[in-house]
Order: sequence, then C-alpha cells, then structure tokens
Amino acid sequence: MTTLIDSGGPQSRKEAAAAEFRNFLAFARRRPGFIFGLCVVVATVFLAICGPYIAPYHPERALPGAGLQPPSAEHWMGTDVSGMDVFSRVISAPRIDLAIALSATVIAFVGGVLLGVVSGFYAGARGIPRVASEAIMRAADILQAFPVFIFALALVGFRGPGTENVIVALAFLNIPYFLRVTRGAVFQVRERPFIEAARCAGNKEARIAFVHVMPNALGPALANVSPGIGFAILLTAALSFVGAGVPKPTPEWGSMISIGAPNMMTGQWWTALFLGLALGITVLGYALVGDGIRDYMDPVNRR
Amino acid sequence: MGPATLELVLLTGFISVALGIPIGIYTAVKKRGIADRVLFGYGMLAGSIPDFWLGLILIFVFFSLTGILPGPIGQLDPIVSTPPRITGAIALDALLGGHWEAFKSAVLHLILPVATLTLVYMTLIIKNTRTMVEEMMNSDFVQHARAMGFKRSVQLRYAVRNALPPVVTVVGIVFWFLLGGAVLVETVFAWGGLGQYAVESVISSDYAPLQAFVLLAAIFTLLVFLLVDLAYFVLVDLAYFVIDPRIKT
Repeated sequence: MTTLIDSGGPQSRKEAAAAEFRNFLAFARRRPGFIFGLCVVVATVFLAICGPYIAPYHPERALPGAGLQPPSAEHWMGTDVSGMDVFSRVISAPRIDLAIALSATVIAFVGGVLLGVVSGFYAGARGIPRVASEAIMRAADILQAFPVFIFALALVGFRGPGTENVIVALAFLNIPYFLRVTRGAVFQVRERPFIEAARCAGNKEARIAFVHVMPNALGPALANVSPGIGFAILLTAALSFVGAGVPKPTPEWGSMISIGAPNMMTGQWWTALFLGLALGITVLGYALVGDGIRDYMDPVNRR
Repeated sequence: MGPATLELVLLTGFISVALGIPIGIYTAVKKRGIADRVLFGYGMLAGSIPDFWLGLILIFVFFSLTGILPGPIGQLDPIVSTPPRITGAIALDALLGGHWEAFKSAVLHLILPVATLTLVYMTLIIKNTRTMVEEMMNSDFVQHARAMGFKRSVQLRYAVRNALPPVVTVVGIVFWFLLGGAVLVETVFAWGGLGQYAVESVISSDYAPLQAFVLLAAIFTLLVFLLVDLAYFVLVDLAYFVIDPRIKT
C-alpha cells in the first residue's frame, strides 16, 4: 500500500524526471518517424565532430589520376571529376553545414524570441512601447515579403559569398518565424492569472515581460528550432550550389552537387546522387524531430 | 528574360493546381488506400529534397540514361531557329506564330524543369486540400447532409466548395515559393531567365541587376497576394452576396 501513499505525495525531482523520461520513451515508441529523426540528428552531430577523422581519404585532397571512378570497394561512392573521394566528402560535410545551420538558427532564435516578447507583450500598450511593437511587426512583414531564397541570395550577394555571410543571411531570414510564434505564445501567456499576480505584487512591466512571460512562452519557438536547422541546411546547400555560399573545395553538400552537376549530364550519377540523398535525409530527419517535439508538448496529440 | 521565368513559374503553378487539388480531394475521401500511403511518403520527401538536385536526377534519367528528352541547354535546341518575338515566352511565341518545329522543341525543353518544380511544390497544395476537405467532411453541415440522407457525392460537393477558399491562399504561397525555386532550377537547366541572371550577377558582384531582381520579386509577391485577395473576394464574399438573402437587398 505504500505505492498508493507515495503517488499521492509530492514526488522528488529525480522521480519526476524518471517518470517524464518513461513517458517520453513510450511516446517515441509509437512514432517510428520521430526515432528515425533522432537517429539522423545524432548521426549528423557525430559526423560533424569526427567525420573528417574517420573518412578513409582526405576530403579536400584530389587523388592524382583517379577522377570520375564509379563506386567500388576502394571508393564506396566513387570519385568526383578532380579525383576527390565522394564518400569522404559526404561524411565530412556535416561539420560545415551543421555549424552554419546551428549558429544561424541560434541567432535567429534569440533575436526572434526577444523581439517576439517585446512585440507581443506591448501589443495593447500605449505610447512608445506600442510604436515599438508595431514597428517590429511591420519590419517582419517587409522581411517576409520577399521569396525566401531570393532574399537569402540578395543578402549574401550584397555582403559577398562566404561562410559568415551565409550565417548572417540565414539568421536574419529566420528571425521573423521565431518572432511570430513567440508573439502568439506571449498573447496567451500574458492573460494567465499568474501574470496578473506578478503585476499586483508590484513588478515592473519589463520585468514581468522577460522574467515571467518569456520563460512560459518559449515552447513554440523551441519546437521550431529543429525544423529551422533542417531548413537552414537546405538553404545553405542551395546558396552554395549557385556559388554564393561556402567556397568550392570545402566539403559542403550543395557545392559538391554543383561540382557533380556537369557529370550528371554525361552519366556519372555517383557525383551528385549520394550528396542529395544525404542532404534530403538530414533535412527530413530534423523536420521529423520538430514534428515529434511539437506533438509531445501538445497533450492532445501525445497519444 | 522575364517571360522565360514567368513561363516556368506560371506553367508549374497551373499544373500543380490542376493536379494537386483533385489528388488532395481524392486522398481525403479514400483514406488508408495505397494511393494515400504513396502520397504520404511523397509529401514527406518533397518537403526535404533539394529541387536543384531533383532536377539533376531527372536530367540523368531522361537525358543521359535514356535520351528521351533534351538536355539542360536552355529553352530551345540550338539548331532550331527562335520564333519571332511576340510575348517573349518561346513556347507561346512559336504556338502563336505557327512555328511547329520550334514549338515542339520548346515544349520538350519545358518538360524537365516544369516537372522538377511541380514535384517539389505541388505537395503543399495536395496536403492542404486534403486537410481542408477532411475537416469539412467532419463539419456540422456535412454531417447534417449525411443525416438527411444525401448521397456521398453531394456531401463531397458541399465539403469541397467550402474547403476551396483556404486552398486559394496556399496556391498563392506556392506561386511565391516558385519564384525562389525557379532561380535554382533555371541555373540547373541553363534556362536563361531572370533567376539565372540574378545568380550570375551575385557571383560577379554586379549589384544593379540583383537590386532590380529583388524589387521585381517583391512586386511579384504583392501581385500574387493581391490576386489571392481578389480570388477570396470572388469566392467567399461575392458568393455570400448571391446566397445570403439578408445581404441581398
């Protein structure tokens, strides 16, 4: 009978965490897509850390006289036109791709959440805060008036190709998404009784916004981080493909596809096929993890 | 160059609508069929596969492997003379001027880029049509129709009519995405349109064409969403005027 008494009493922090973890496992077991996504995320992170070390060949060194060899026991995915081993380059690419996508998404997350809290919390206020709130939203509207890829291309174009500029462009581009979901969440949180209680206790408005509202309005933005990373990887690859992203010899999926593009037309399919598959699986995996996290946080969809 | 890009975007948009909406309705009705499973997998993939890579794969299969379709060398075979310019869109010019050889060549060259863009962007329309029709089939008024003993085809007609307005918005969004996608696909197929021009100007740090292209893209966006609003007005507001006796004076 001790169990009955225990379940009614306050749980220790450790027990609560264990219960949450069991819940999570049971949830994940029902969703093969989510598990697949998690595997992809773990694999890309692993490759980002040690991909270049476990690669059988140097990812940026051309093997003399070994150009355009089809897949074989020696070169699992063949070699490209200058004789670089495609497999080594495929598993070395997450380092740069993930670094760009992760930093761009983190910057966009921080910027978007802060602006979203300001614009959501002060939306009904008077005076300068209201002007600020409106200004933020109109700026976001302007940013989103351009087709995504064209805007990214223009930003990189004006700053010149290069890794840092891709990060800046992608971060800038993603801020409005995080801003909007956070603003929506803030609208709900600021009506809750504990905010009123905080106000009655004499907290300043700014303190309420950032200490009480913001931590409770992070959920939707957090759920968007994983698909945001996937999307950023796809955009990085697209920018590099047209030559406006990561410069050429660096192993990056998009720029490698552009190296293989002329060979696809003459029939050397291995120069681009595996790269696109790796890219597609990665983006899909991150999107599935995002879906899973969103459903997990929503009690209705948990079952 | 503008018409070449528009040709690509508009053709893809219309094909996506003409195929995507019926497919969406079909999968909403025939749930748990094979078609539904195939489309589910396709929807997952289409959202994550890079369009420029898909274009290359299609080139490999239909040009280098089987040789059915022409390679990525622009809008026309080099041996075919360009039809006199009327609209700037080569396939249309050839059709209007009656240059059948040029028309055939232009259409063959259009197939792969349009197929690439359609495969990637049609899924948005399918998914949204499906969700909206499903939602409407479960709505009170269709349940009422069901309770009254109306045939399933009538129920579906009610559902589809009410599901379409939100789909119009998604069609607008697809057109908006298509302009960005066209930039990449034009580069792959050496299409010689605005998008390729913009990409070339980025690489050579030539800012004026880029500025012009971004401005055009913004105008295009405005026009698309203006059209969406207009379609909304015609479909929803005007329909109310006609149907609702309280508004009709």
